[in-house]
Amino acid sequence: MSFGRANQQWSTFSKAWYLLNADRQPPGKLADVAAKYLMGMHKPIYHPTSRVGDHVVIINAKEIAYSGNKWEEKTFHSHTGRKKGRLMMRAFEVHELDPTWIVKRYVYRRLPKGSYGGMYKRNLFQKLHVFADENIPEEIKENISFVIPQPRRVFKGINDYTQEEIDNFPKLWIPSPDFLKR
Amino acid sequence: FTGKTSAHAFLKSVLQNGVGKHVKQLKRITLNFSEASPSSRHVRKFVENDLVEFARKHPSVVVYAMPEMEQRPSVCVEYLNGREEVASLEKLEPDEILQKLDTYSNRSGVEILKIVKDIHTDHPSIQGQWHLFTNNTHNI
Repeated sequence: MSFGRANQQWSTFSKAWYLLNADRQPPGKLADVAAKYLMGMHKPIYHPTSRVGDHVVIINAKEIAYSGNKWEEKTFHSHTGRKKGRLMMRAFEVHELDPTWIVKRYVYRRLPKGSYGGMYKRNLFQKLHVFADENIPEEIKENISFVIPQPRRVFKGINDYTQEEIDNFPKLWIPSPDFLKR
Repeated sequence: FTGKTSAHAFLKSVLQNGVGKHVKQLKRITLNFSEASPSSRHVRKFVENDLVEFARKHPSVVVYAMPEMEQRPSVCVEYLNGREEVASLEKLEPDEILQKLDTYSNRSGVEILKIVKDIHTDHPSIQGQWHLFTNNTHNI
């Protein structure tokens, strides 16, 4: 693709919209990738003083996958600042209230901190669009032009197989009907 | 976002000096120092021992030695293009002062700036500038 001399500036510095599917992905790895693209660090023209970040649209945020027993063991805290104002919720409780909250929180913590962060962090965070499922508003959908590869390989779940595939799968031995009872 | 700008200029010489006859651009040197204070002791030693020899070596340069009471040692040099520079001579040994004056006498008098080059091209990049679609494997 070739551009004219003046249009070259627009094509170099224009902002792209990337799609990232959060289906069966760990939120930490998702946030690593999303923060990199929000800051524009995937571009060869990246410089910390240049605002060259892209938009990232995360879909299927309710399908994120924690390893281990984190859904019950991991807790999120906040404090109102007053006495006895501590609030603590486990991960699955938060996820039931708002399926996009955990992904947003992980990405926000990956963005630049310190005196340089500040407003820059909030501006970057406005370019993140998280949705619980695959339904995206039409005005966002028409902007998307690229897809970010998922950070973790997605294996086929047991519910993704059709009954025909299960029946045709070669079986080495056929268990007796009362195998599970024993 | 604009980058940091500093004073810069193109490389030039004064009136093509040295193409035919070379004219020394240094016009006048004024040495200001104190008669008695210890901060000027090296300058006083330089004036006693080396200044006459320096003036003989550069006949086109006018050299003034201006001793005054309670004065810090400094040198003021003036050039034919009208510029003048003042520099401190504190904590300089006599040989360092001689080296400094030699440097001033060899200069053209043009202000020392970062030298930039007048280069222009219609084709800044042969490969083509980077844009969103170069080597982008993330297409839908």
